[in-house]
Amino acid sequence: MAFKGDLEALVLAVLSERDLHGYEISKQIKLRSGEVLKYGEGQLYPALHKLESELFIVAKWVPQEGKPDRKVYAITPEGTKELARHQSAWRRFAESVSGIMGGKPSEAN
Amino acid sequence: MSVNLKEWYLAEIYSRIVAPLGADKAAMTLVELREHLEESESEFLVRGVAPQQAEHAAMDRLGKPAALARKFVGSAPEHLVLNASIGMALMIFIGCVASLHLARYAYLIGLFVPLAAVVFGSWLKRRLNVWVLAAAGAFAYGIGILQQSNFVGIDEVGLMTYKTAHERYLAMRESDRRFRETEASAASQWREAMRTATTSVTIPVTKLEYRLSRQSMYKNDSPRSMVGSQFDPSSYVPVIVSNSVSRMELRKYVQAQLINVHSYQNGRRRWLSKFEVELNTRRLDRISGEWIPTLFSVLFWVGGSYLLEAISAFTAALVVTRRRKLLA
Repeated sequence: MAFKGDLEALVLAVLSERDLHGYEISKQIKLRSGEVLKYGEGQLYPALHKLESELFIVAKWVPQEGKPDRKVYAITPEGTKELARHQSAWRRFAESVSGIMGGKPSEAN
Repeated sequence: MSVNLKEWYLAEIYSRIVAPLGADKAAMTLVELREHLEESESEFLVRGVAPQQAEHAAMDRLGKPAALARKFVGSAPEHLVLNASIGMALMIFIGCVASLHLARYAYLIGLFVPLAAVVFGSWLKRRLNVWVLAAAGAFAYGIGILQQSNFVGIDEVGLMTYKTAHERYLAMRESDRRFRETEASAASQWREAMRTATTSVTIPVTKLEYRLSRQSMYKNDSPRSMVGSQFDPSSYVPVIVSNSVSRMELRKYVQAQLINVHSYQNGRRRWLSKFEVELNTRRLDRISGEWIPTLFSVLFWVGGSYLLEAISAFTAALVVTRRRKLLA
Protein backbone atom coordinates (compact mmCIF):
# COMPACT_ATOMS: atom_id res chain seq x y z
CA MET A 1 0.00 0.00 0.00
CA ALA A 2 1.12 3.55 -0.61
CA PHE A 3 1.99 5.32 2.62
CA LYS A 4 1.36 9.02 2.75
CA GLY A 5 1.10 9.33 6.49
CA ASP A 6 3.45 10.76 9.01
CA LEU A 7 6.81 9.95 7.53
CA GLU A 8 8.54 12.29 9.93
CA ALA A 9 7.21 10.36 12.91
CA LEU A 10 8.40 7.10 11.39
CA VAL A 11 11.85 8.57 10.84
CA LEU A 12 11.99 9.73 14.45
CA ALA A 13 10.87 6.31 15.64
CA VAL A 14 13.58 4.56 13.64
CA LEU A 15 16.24 7.00 14.78
CA SER A 16 15.19 6.66 18.41
CA GLU A 17 16.89 3.26 18.43
CA ARG A 18 20.15 4.12 16.73
CA ASP A 19 21.84 6.64 14.48
CA LEU A 20 21.36 5.87 10.81
CA HIS A 21 22.09 7.30 7.38
CA GLY A 22 19.38 8.11 4.84
CA TYR A 23 19.33 4.90 2.88
CA GLU A 24 19.35 2.78 6.03
CA ILE A 25 16.43 4.76 7.47
CA SER A 26 14.44 4.07 4.34
CA LYS A 27 15.34 0.39 4.49
CA GLN A 28 14.45 0.08 8.15
CA ILE A 29 11.00 1.59 7.63
CA LYS A 30 10.29 -0.87 4.86
CA LEU A 31 11.65 -3.87 6.73
CA ARG A 32 9.99 -3.11 10.04
CA SER A 33 6.64 -2.52 8.39
CA GLY A 34 6.92 -5.87 6.61
CA GLU A 35 7.17 -3.99 3.28
CA VAL A 36 3.67 -2.66 3.85
CA LEU A 37 4.68 0.98 4.14
CA LYS A 38 6.08 1.94 0.78
CA TYR A 39 6.69 5.55 -0.07
CA GLY A 40 8.73 7.37 -2.66
CA GLU A 41 12.27 7.49 -1.38
CA GLY A 42 12.41 11.05 -2.64
CA GLN A 43 10.12 12.00 0.23
CA LEU A 44 12.64 10.85 2.79
CA TYR A 45 15.38 13.42 2.26
CA PRO A 46 13.15 16.50 2.28
CA ALA A 47 11.60 15.10 5.47
CA LEU A 48 15.06 14.64 6.98
CA HIS A 49 15.98 18.21 6.03
CA LYS A 50 12.81 19.48 7.62
CA LEU A 51 13.41 17.53 10.82
CA GLU A 52 16.97 18.78 10.86
CA SER A 53 15.91 22.40 10.38
CA GLU A 54 13.43 21.99 13.23
CA LEU A 55 16.25 20.48 15.30
CA PHE A 56 14.42 17.26 16.00
CA ILE A 57 17.41 15.45 14.53
CA VAL A 58 21.03 16.36 14.01
CA ALA A 59 23.36 15.18 11.29
CA LYS A 60 27.06 14.42 11.40
CA TRP A 61 29.43 13.43 8.65
CA VAL A 62 31.10 10.10 9.30
CA PRO A 63 34.25 9.28 7.33
CA GLN A 64 34.24 6.11 5.24
CA GLU A 65 37.20 4.25 3.89
CA GLY A 66 37.74 4.90 0.20
CA LYS A 67 34.40 6.63 -0.13
CA PRO A 68 33.04 10.10 0.54
CA ASP A 69 31.88 10.92 4.05
CA ARG A 70 28.44 9.71 4.95
CA LYS A 71 25.75 11.78 6.60
CA VAL A 72 24.39 10.03 9.67
CA TYR A 73 21.35 11.28 11.54
CA ALA A 74 20.67 11.14 15.27
CA ILE A 75 17.59 12.12 17.24
CA THR A 76 17.80 15.08 19.66
CA PRO A 77 16.01 15.44 23.01
CA GLU A 78 13.52 17.72 21.27
CA GLY A 79 13.02 15.01 18.68
CA THR A 80 12.39 12.45 21.39
CA LYS A 81 9.69 14.67 22.88
CA GLU A 82 8.19 15.14 19.43
CA LEU A 83 8.20 11.39 18.90
CA ALA A 84 6.40 10.90 22.21
CA ARG A 85 3.74 13.34 21.07
CA HIS A 86 3.34 11.46 17.80
CA GLN A 87 3.14 8.11 19.59
CA SER A 88 0.49 9.38 21.95
CA ALA A 89 -1.57 10.80 19.09
CA TRP A 90 -1.18 7.59 17.13
CA ARG A 91 -2.31 5.46 20.07
CA ARG A 92 -5.42 7.55 20.50
CA PHE A 93 -6.15 7.34 16.79
CA ALA A 94 -5.56 3.58 16.60
CA GLU A 95 -7.75 2.91 19.65
CA SER A 96 -10.53 5.04 18.24
CA VAL A 97 -10.48 3.25 14.92
CA SER A 98 -10.25 -0.16 16.60
CA GLY A 99 -13.20 0.75 18.80
CA ILE A 100 -15.29 1.23 15.69
CA MET A 101 -13.84 -1.41 13.40
CA GLY A 102 -13.39 -4.04 16.11
CA GLY A 103 -10.27 -6.02 16.89
CA LYS A 104 -9.24 -4.01 19.92
CA PRO A 105 -6.07 -5.38 21.48
CA SER A 106 -8.00 -5.91 24.74
CA GLU A 107 -10.74 -7.86 22.94
CA ALA A 108 -8.26 -9.98 21.05
CA ASN A 109 -6.66 -10.99 24.32
CA MET B 1 25.42 2.94 -13.06
CA SER B 2 26.82 4.86 -15.95
CA VAL B 3 28.47 8.04 -14.79
CA ASN B 4 26.77 10.20 -17.38
CA LEU B 5 23.23 9.24 -16.49
CA LYS B 6 23.79 9.52 -12.78
CA GLU B 7 25.61 12.81 -13.15
CA TRP B 8 22.89 14.15 -15.37
CA TYR B 9 20.26 13.11 -12.83
CA LEU B 10 22.13 14.72 -9.94
CA ALA B 11 22.95 17.83 -11.95
CA GLU B 12 19.27 18.25 -12.72
CA ILE B 13 18.47 18.19 -9.02
CA TYR B 14 21.38 20.47 -8.14
CA SER B 15 20.39 23.10 -10.68
CA ARG B 16 16.97 23.30 -9.09
CA ILE B 17 17.93 23.36 -5.44
CA VAL B 18 21.11 25.42 -5.52
CA ALA B 19 19.33 28.79 -5.57
CA PRO B 20 16.84 28.22 -2.75
CA LEU B 21 19.05 26.04 -0.53
CA GLY B 22 22.41 27.64 -1.20
CA ALA B 23 25.51 26.08 -2.73
CA ASP B 24 26.82 24.35 0.42
CA LYS B 25 23.57 22.73 1.44
CA ALA B 26 22.81 21.73 -2.14
CA ALA B 27 26.24 20.12 -2.50
CA MET B 28 25.81 18.18 0.74
CA THR B 29 22.37 17.06 -0.35
CA LEU B 30 23.84 15.86 -3.60
CA VAL B 31 26.47 13.79 -1.81
CA GLU B 32 23.72 12.16 0.20
CA LEU B 33 21.58 11.46 -2.84
CA ARG B 34 24.51 10.08 -4.79
CA GLU B 35 25.21 7.60 -2.01
CA HIS B 36 21.58 6.66 -1.84
CA LEU B 37 21.50 5.96 -5.56
CA GLU B 38 24.61 3.82 -5.39
CA GLU B 39 23.36 1.79 -2.46
CA SER B 40 19.98 1.33 -4.02
CA GLU B 41 21.53 0.22 -7.28
CA SER B 42 23.78 -2.25 -5.46
CA GLU B 43 20.73 -3.72 -3.79
CA PHE B 44 19.03 -4.25 -7.14
CA LEU B 45 22.18 -5.83 -8.55
CA VAL B 46 22.36 -8.24 -5.62
CA ARG B 47 18.81 -9.27 -6.43
CA GLY B 48 19.94 -10.14 -9.93
CA VAL B 49 18.57 -7.16 -11.78
CA ALA B 50 20.50 -6.19 -14.93
CA PRO B 51 22.86 -3.23 -14.39
CA GLN B 52 21.04 -0.82 -16.65
CA GLN B 53 17.66 -1.72 -15.18
CA ALA B 54 19.09 -1.39 -11.69
CA GLU B 55 20.26 2.08 -12.56
CA HIS B 56 16.85 3.14 -13.74
CA ALA B 57 15.09 1.44 -10.84
CA ALA B 58 17.26 3.27 -8.32
CA MET B 59 16.41 6.60 -9.90
CA ASP B 60 12.74 5.71 -10.19
CA ARG B 61 12.59 4.96 -6.50
CA LEU B 62 14.10 8.30 -5.67
CA GLY B 63 11.77 10.15 -8.01
CA LYS B 64 12.03 12.59 -10.88
CA PRO B 65 14.58 15.37 -10.40
CA ALA B 66 12.05 18.18 -10.69
CA ALA B 67 9.64 16.60 -8.20
CA LEU B 68 12.42 15.79 -5.78
CA ALA B 69 13.88 19.28 -6.00
CA ARG B 70 10.46 20.78 -5.39
CA LYS B 71 10.11 18.78 -2.18
CA PHE B 72 13.48 20.05 -0.97
CA VAL B 73 12.61 23.61 -1.79
CA GLY B 74 9.20 23.32 -0.19
CA SER B 75 10.74 22.03 3.03
CA ALA B 76 13.06 24.99 3.42
CA PRO B 77 11.55 27.58 5.79
CA GLU B 78 13.93 30.25 4.56
CA HIS B 79 12.48 29.79 1.12
CA LEU B 80 9.03 30.60 2.44
CA VAL B 81 10.36 33.88 3.76
CA LEU B 82 12.05 34.61 0.45
CA ASN B 83 8.92 33.67 -1.45
CA ALA B 84 6.75 35.84 0.72
CA SER B 85 9.14 38.77 0.46
CA ILE B 86 9.30 38.53 -3.31
CA GLY B 87 5.54 38.25 -3.40
CA MET B 88 5.16 41.39 -1.31
CA ALA B 89 7.64 43.28 -3.47
CA LEU B 90 5.79 42.23 -6.58
CA MET B 91 2.53 43.32 -5.04
CA ILE B 92 3.93 46.77 -4.45
CA PHE B 93 5.39 46.85 -7.93
CA ILE B 94 2.14 45.81 -9.55
CA GLY B 95 0.21 48.27 -7.43
CA CYS B 96 2.48 51.12 -8.51
CA VAL B 97 2.51 50.10 -12.14
CA ALA B 98 -1.22 49.73 -12.05
CA SER B 99 -1.67 53.25 -10.78
CA LEU B 100 1.01 54.97 -12.78
CA HIS B 101 0.43 53.42 -16.14
CA LEU B 102 -2.92 51.81 -16.31
CA ALA B 103 -5.03 53.19 -13.54
CA ARG B 104 -8.31 51.34 -13.34
CA TYR B 105 -7.80 48.38 -15.62
CA ALA B 106 -4.38 47.57 -14.33
CA TYR B 107 -5.85 47.97 -10.90
CA LEU B 108 -8.10 45.08 -11.76
CA ILE B 109 -5.19 43.18 -13.26
CA GLY B 110 -3.16 43.96 -10.19
CA LEU B 111 -6.00 42.74 -8.02
CA PHE B 112 -7.26 39.62 -9.72
CA VAL B 113 -4.23 38.21 -11.49
CA PRO B 114 -2.18 37.92 -8.30
CA LEU B 115 -5.26 36.66 -6.48
CA ALA B 116 -5.55 33.91 -9.07
CA ALA B 117 -1.83 33.38 -8.76
CA VAL B 118 -2.17 32.87 -5.03
CA VAL B 119 -4.93 30.32 -5.50
CA PHE B 120 -3.36 28.42 -8.37
CA GLY B 121 0.14 29.03 -7.11
CA SER B 122 -0.67 27.15 -3.93
CA TRP B 123 -1.91 24.35 -6.05
CA LEU B 124 1.29 24.49 -8.06
CA LYS B 125 3.37 23.88 -4.97
CA ARG B 126 3.41 27.50 -3.91
CA ARG B 127 6.78 28.49 -5.36
CA LEU B 128 5.30 29.08 -8.78
CA ASN B 129 3.49 32.05 -7.26
CA VAL B 130 6.55 34.10 -7.75
CA TRP B 131 6.72 33.36 -11.45
CA VAL B 132 3.03 33.90 -12.01
CA LEU B 133 3.24 37.20 -10.16
CA ALA B 134 6.30 38.19 -12.11
CA ALA B 135 4.40 37.44 -15.30
CA ALA B 136 1.46 39.52 -14.06
CA GLY B 137 3.77 42.41 -13.22
CA ALA B 138 5.50 42.18 -16.58
CA PHE B 139 2.13 42.04 -18.32
CA ALA B 140 0.85 45.11 -16.49
CA TYR B 141 4.07 46.96 -17.20
CA GLY B 142 4.04 45.89 -20.85
CA ILE B 143 0.51 47.17 -21.31
CA GLY B 144 1.58 50.41 -19.64
CA ILE B 145 4.43 50.79 -22.12
CA LEU B 146 2.12 50.07 -25.02
CA GLN B 147 -0.22 52.70 -23.73
CA GLN B 148 2.57 55.18 -23.47
CA SER B 149 3.16 54.73 -27.15
CA ASN B 150 -0.57 55.05 -27.86
CA PHE B 151 -0.37 51.70 -29.54
CA VAL B 152 -3.13 50.37 -27.37
CA GLY B 153 -5.87 52.46 -25.91
CA ILE B 154 -8.28 51.43 -23.22
CA ASP B 155 -11.65 52.97 -22.67
CA GLU B 156 -14.78 52.07 -20.80
CA VAL B 157 -15.59 49.21 -23.14
CA GLY B 158 -12.16 47.67 -22.90
CA LEU B 159 -9.24 47.46 -25.25
CA MET B 160 -9.44 49.32 -28.48
CA THR B 161 -7.21 48.92 -31.44
CA TYR B 162 -4.59 51.29 -32.66
CA LYS B 163 -6.83 52.04 -35.64
CA THR B 164 -9.63 53.18 -33.36
CA ALA B 165 -7.23 55.27 -31.36
CA HIS B 166 -5.96 56.86 -34.54
CA GLU B 167 -9.48 57.61 -35.74
CA ARG B 168 -10.20 59.27 -32.45
CA TYR B 169 -7.03 61.26 -32.74
CA LEU B 170 -8.11 62.49 -36.18
CA ALA B 171 -11.52 63.41 -34.79
CA MET B 172 -9.83 65.34 -32.03
CA ARG B 173 -7.72 67.25 -34.55
CA GLU B 174 -10.80 68.12 -36.56
CA SER B 175 -12.52 69.30 -33.39
CA ASP B 176 -9.48 71.37 -32.56
CA ARG B 177 -9.53 73.01 -35.98
CA ARG B 178 -13.20 73.90 -35.58
CA PHE B 179 -12.53 75.35 -32.16
CA ARG B 180 -9.78 77.61 -33.45
CA GLU B 181 -12.01 78.87 -36.22
CA THR B 182 -14.69 79.96 -33.78
CA GLU B 183 -12.45 81.00 -30.93
CA ALA B 184 -11.65 84.41 -32.38
CA SER B 185 -15.28 85.42 -32.75
CA ALA B 186 -16.10 84.01 -29.30
CA ALA B 187 -13.30 86.02 -27.76
CA SER B 188 -14.41 89.25 -29.38
CA GLN B 189 -17.98 88.58 -28.26
CA TRP B 190 -16.73 88.01 -24.76
CA ARG B 191 -14.66 91.21 -24.74
CA GLU B 192 -17.62 93.16 -26.02
CA ALA B 193 -19.84 91.80 -23.24
CA MET B 194 -17.30 92.77 -20.62
CA ARG B 195 -16.89 96.23 -22.09
CA THR B 196 -20.53 97.24 -22.52
CA ALA B 197 -22.51 95.16 -20.01
CA THR B 198 -25.52 95.33 -22.26
CA THR B 199 -29.01 94.18 -21.39
CA SER B 200 -28.60 90.90 -23.09
CA VAL B 201 -25.55 89.02 -24.14
CA THR B 202 -24.95 85.53 -25.26
CA ILE B 203 -21.98 84.01 -23.54
CA PRO B 204 -20.56 80.87 -25.02
CA VAL B 205 -20.42 78.85 -21.84
CA THR B 206 -20.22 75.66 -23.79
CA LYS B 207 -17.23 77.06 -25.53
CA LEU B 208 -15.68 77.98 -22.22
CA GLU B 209 -16.38 74.56 -20.92
CA TYR B 210 -14.77 73.17 -23.96
CA ARG B 211 -11.80 75.38 -23.42
CA LEU B 212 -11.43 74.18 -19.86
CA SER B 213 -11.66 70.61 -20.92
CA ARG B 214 -9.08 71.32 -23.59
CA GLN B 215 -6.75 72.61 -20.91
CA SER B 216 -7.21 69.50 -18.84
CA MET B 217 -6.86 67.39 -21.93
CA TYR B 218 -3.56 68.91 -22.81
CA LYS B 219 -2.32 67.88 -19.42
CA ASN B 220 -3.91 64.52 -19.66
CA ASP B 221 -3.49 64.03 -23.40
CA SER B 222 -6.45 61.74 -23.56
CA PRO B 223 -7.95 61.19 -27.01
CA ARG B 224 -11.07 59.78 -25.43
CA SER B 225 -11.71 62.86 -23.33
CA MET B 226 -11.11 65.10 -26.32
CA VAL B 227 -13.62 63.31 -28.44
CA GLY B 228 -16.08 63.26 -25.58
CA SER B 229 -15.92 67.07 -25.31
CA GLN B 230 -16.36 68.05 -28.93
CA PHE B 231 -17.36 71.66 -29.22
CA ASP B 232 -20.63 72.55 -30.84
CA PRO B 233 -20.59 76.30 -31.69
CA SER B 234 -24.37 76.44 -31.96
CA SER B 235 -25.02 75.56 -28.34
CA TYR B 236 -24.42 78.86 -26.62
CA VAL B 237 -25.95 79.51 -23.24
CA PRO B 238 -27.81 82.81 -23.16
CA VAL B 239 -27.17 84.98 -20.14
CA ILE B 240 -29.59 87.80 -19.50
CA VAL B 241 -28.09 90.75 -17.69
CA SER B 242 -29.92 93.93 -16.79
CA ASN B 243 -28.54 97.39 -17.25
CA SER B 244 -28.20 97.83 -13.51
CA VAL B 245 -25.64 95.08 -13.23
CA SER B 246 -22.17 96.42 -13.03
CA ARG B 247 -19.35 95.08 -15.07
CA MET B 248 -17.80 93.64 -11.91
CA GLU B 249 -21.00 91.78 -11.04
CA LEU B 250 -21.20 90.44 -14.51
CA ARG B 251 -17.65 89.26 -14.24
CA LYS B 252 -18.46 87.56 -10.91
CA TYR B 253 -21.45 85.91 -12.45
CA VAL B 254 -19.49 84.57 -15.33
CA GLN B 255 -16.72 83.48 -13.01
CA ALA B 256 -19.31 81.58 -10.99
CA GLN B 257 -20.41 79.93 -14.19
CA LEU B 258 -16.84 79.04 -14.91
CA ILE B 259 -16.42 77.61 -11.42
CA ASN B 260 -19.52 75.54 -11.92
CA VAL B 261 -18.22 74.31 -15.22
CA HIS B 262 -14.88 73.60 -13.69
CA SER B 263 -16.38 71.72 -10.76
CA TYR B 264 -18.49 69.78 -13.13
CA GLN B 265 -15.44 68.97 -15.13
CA ASN B 266 -13.60 67.88 -12.07
CA GLY B 267 -16.53 65.94 -10.76
CA ARG B 268 -16.95 64.24 -14.07
CA ARG B 269 -13.31 63.46 -14.29
CA ARG B 270 -13.24 62.02 -10.82
CA TRP B 271 -16.30 59.94 -11.46
CA LEU B 272 -14.97 58.63 -14.74
CA SER B 273 -11.65 57.90 -13.17
CA LYS B 274 -13.22 55.13 -11.20
CA PHE B 275 -14.24 53.24 -14.28
CA GLU B 276 -12.11 54.37 -17.13
CA VAL B 277 -8.54 54.15 -18.03
CA GLU B 278 -6.98 57.41 -19.05
CA LEU B 279 -4.17 57.22 -21.48
CA ASN B 280 -0.71 58.41 -20.58
CA THR B 281 -1.49 59.46 -17.04
CA ARG B 282 1.88 59.94 -15.51
CA ARG B 283 1.41 63.06 -13.51
CA LEU B 284 1.51 62.17 -9.86
CA ASP B 285 -0.43 65.24 -8.84
CA ARG B 286 -3.30 64.02 -10.97
CA ILE B 287 -3.37 60.50 -9.74
CA SER B 288 -2.13 60.92 -6.20
CA GLY B 289 -5.69 60.52 -5.09
CA GLU B 290 -5.83 57.16 -6.85
CA TRP B 291 -2.57 55.33 -6.52
CA ILE B 292 -2.55 55.31 -2.75
CA PRO B 293 -5.90 53.52 -2.40
CA THR B 294 -4.95 51.28 -5.29
CA LEU B 295 -1.70 50.32 -3.65
CA PHE B 296 -3.32 49.76 -0.31
CA SER B 297 -6.14 47.75 -1.80
CA VAL B 298 -3.68 45.49 -3.53
CA LEU B 299 -1.60 45.16 -0.41
CA PHE B 300 -4.53 44.49 1.86
CA TRP B 301 -6.51 42.15 -0.30
CA VAL B 302 -3.77 40.24 -2.05
CA GLY B 303 -0.59 41.00 -0.22
CA GLY B 304 -2.33 40.05 2.98
CA SER B 305 -2.05 36.39 2.15
CA TYR B 306 1.66 36.84 1.57
CA LEU B 307 1.94 38.72 4.79
CA LEU B 308 0.35 35.82 6.62
CA GLU B 309 2.73 33.46 4.90
CA ALA B 310 5.66 35.64 5.86
CA ILE B 311 4.47 35.83 9.47
CA SER B 312 4.10 32.07 9.69
CA ALA B 313 7.52 31.56 8.13
CA PHE B 314 9.15 34.04 10.49
CA THR B 315 7.38 32.44 13.42
CA ALA B 316 8.71 29.06 12.37
CA ALA B 317 12.20 30.56 12.09
CA LEU B 318 11.87 32.01 15.59
CA VAL B 319 10.81 28.66 17.00
CA VAL B 320 13.80 26.98 15.38
CA THR B 321 16.13 29.65 16.72
CA ARG B 322 14.74 29.14 20.20
CA ARG B 323 15.23 25.39 19.98
CA ARG B 324 18.75 25.91 18.71
CA LYS B 325 19.52 28.08 21.72
CA LEU B 326 18.03 25.50 24.05
CA LEU B 327 20.12 22.76 22.50
CA ALA B 328 23.25 24.87 22.66
